Amino acid sequence: MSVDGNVRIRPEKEAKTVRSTIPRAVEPRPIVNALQVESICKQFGERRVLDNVGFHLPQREVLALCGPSGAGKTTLLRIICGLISFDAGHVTIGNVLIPFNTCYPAGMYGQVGVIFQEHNLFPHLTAIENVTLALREFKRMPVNQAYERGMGELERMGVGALAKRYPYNLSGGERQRVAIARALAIDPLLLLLDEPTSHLDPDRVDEVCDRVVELAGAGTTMLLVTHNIKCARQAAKSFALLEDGKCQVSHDPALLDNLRYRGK
Amino acid sequence: MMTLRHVLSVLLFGYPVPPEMIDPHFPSFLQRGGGMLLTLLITGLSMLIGAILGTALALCRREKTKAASANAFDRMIGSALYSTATVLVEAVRGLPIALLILLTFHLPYRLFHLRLPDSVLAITALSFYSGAYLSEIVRAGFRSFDPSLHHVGRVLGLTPRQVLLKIELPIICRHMLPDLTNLAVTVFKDSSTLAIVAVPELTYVARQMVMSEPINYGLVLLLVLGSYWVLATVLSVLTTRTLRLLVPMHISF
Amino acid sequence: MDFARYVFAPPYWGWLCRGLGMTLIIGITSGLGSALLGFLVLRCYLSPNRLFRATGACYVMVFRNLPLLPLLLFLAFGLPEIWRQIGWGAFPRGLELALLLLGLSFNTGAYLAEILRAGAEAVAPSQTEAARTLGLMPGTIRRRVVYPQAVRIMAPALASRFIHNMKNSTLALVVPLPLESMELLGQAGRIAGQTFSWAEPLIFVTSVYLLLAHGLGRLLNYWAANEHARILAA
Repeated sequence: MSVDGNVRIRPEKEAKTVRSTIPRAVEPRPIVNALQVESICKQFGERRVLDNVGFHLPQREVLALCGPSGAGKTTLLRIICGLISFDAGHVTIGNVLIPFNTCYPAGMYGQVGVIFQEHNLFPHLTAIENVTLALREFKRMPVNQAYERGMGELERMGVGALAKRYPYNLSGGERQRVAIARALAIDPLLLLLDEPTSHLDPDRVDEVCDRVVELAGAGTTMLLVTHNIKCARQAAKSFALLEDGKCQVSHDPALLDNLRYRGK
Repeated sequence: MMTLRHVLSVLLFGYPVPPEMIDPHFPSFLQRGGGMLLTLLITGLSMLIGAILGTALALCRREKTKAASANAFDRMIGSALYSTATVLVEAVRGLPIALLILLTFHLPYRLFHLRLPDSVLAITALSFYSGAYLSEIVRAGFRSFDPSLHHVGRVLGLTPRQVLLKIELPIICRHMLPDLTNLAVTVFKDSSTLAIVAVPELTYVARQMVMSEPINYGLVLLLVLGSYWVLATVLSVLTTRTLRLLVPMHISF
Repeated sequence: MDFARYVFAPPYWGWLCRGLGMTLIIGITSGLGSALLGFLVLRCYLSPNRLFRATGACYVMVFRNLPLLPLLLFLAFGLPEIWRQIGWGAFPRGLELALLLLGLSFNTGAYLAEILRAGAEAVAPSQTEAARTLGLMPGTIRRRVVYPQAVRIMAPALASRFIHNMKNSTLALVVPLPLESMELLGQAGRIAGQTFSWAEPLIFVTSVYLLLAHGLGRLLNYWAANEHARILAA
């Protein structure tokens, strides 16, 4: 298969973890967009899952990515997270170009905050310990400072009173909010939310959705992948529809109506 | 003088060992003790050594050891380690403990002309036993780890080593604890099998006492059974109660 | 290391073969006995009568935490002593094999009872409820709905317990059985007693037990897989 002759199928290989030599440009490029995805192609064997997918996410904006299940949303997210490699195209996070043939590229440590559908929190740590773990280990903050920062984020999400609880004592909505607080605590360039409300009870969905909208209003850069059209409309400025590996971007929420009425 | 105090002291501490029977090359506290004290000592030491052995065996039995690096020599060593570890674990798990103990007690002398004190051989036998079962527990523990938690940790900026130390190991240890305590209780009970090779642990000391002093074997055995039962029950009840609190901390949400 | 003389030579080889046969007999008999016992205790556990439930729970609690060797010692030596002390006269001789089987059955039975209970509880209660609404009697429900599914769930644990039971038959070393009815390890000991050499009989017996354990394991897995397939197909 040939897409611009740029297709290279490489084995998944993990980048070496060398903190001191995080690959940055020789002269730091100005950050144009928080996330720039250009012509991403990904093929699993015979099936072309992503076909020339591209969009921009400027800073302090929110992009809502919707699409039927199995359309390649998850694959795209995993590529942006650095979990799998891709065959062609460019992914730029901030001013760092992500190399396409490695997993966990060094440049993206702590740059992207990710919130998954479930299994977010570490079950053996309390909420506050979850939030401060990365602060202490990655950012190397002293304990007091990390604790203050963590409590600040938790209170911003409205779960400050639950700081000492373990994840098994928290409801689904509370867990997702703690996960968002944890992701925000490391001050990432952008926040990636992978269907944060889809595994929640319907009455918990609003808890999380409201906070997401609040964050959007406060200027957090977010890529929101969701089935919840209402949440997408309220929070996002631009919309992307991913179907059959092809992506359509627009600022018009009417794009998403195609999704609903297709009956998928 | 057949008082209860005498009986209890013999059962707990065993008979005194004449100093010429003690091998100076090995720790003397192992060879002077007897009775329940020796049983507990043997159980404890076997669990410790078995833990090290079991972890080593589990590490050898990873897929990574078998087919890892590009270097052909490393691969050969790796698959040799893998096969040896697998054979050892499967062999020890497939054999009855009595047979394992008899093998450990007779083969060193017959094959290598090596005379080792009884308690050392006993600890070796039980270490292999607990090590084999422990390697299975460790492997199951690592397999049960949710891989998405690893990814969550990496995305937060932690290095693979930090993920291993701060996230993976705490969760897996909590997951393994019930099985570990179960194994400890099993080793404690199965240490009574050492009586067939005249190791002076609780059961054999009871037999020694009956042979040398006028006392009813039945009552002594009831006492012995009672002590095993009390210790085993107390330990398992205590651990299940405590571990029930830990359970939610290793299941991922 | 002379296998030809110590293991494969005429009198010893015959002893070892008899021993293997005896091991299988002891293993199978005590397995059946413990299955029966385990089943009885299961019925006690699930019975509405509180006394039965308590008895079942006591039995399991006692025999799970008692080590097997002292138990066998007690049955073989302690019991006759106490019998005499109480004044019931001499303990009948020739009961050693029966006592061995009893001890093994009680021990394995306790573990089996726990496994059976876990299996029975693992079958979703909605199955029983659905069967009741169809008008089936409790006994029929148990036999046709609960047990087949429970057996499938607990087949590996059951298989491993049975194999462990067969391995525990080696503890018959401590029971003074008549020479002709000793099991495999006992016969090896008998050979060692005559030839003063433990190593050869031990190594031979090791290989036999390894083959036995693995072979039984595969056999039971095969049977369980087929059973699984049969239940699914039916």
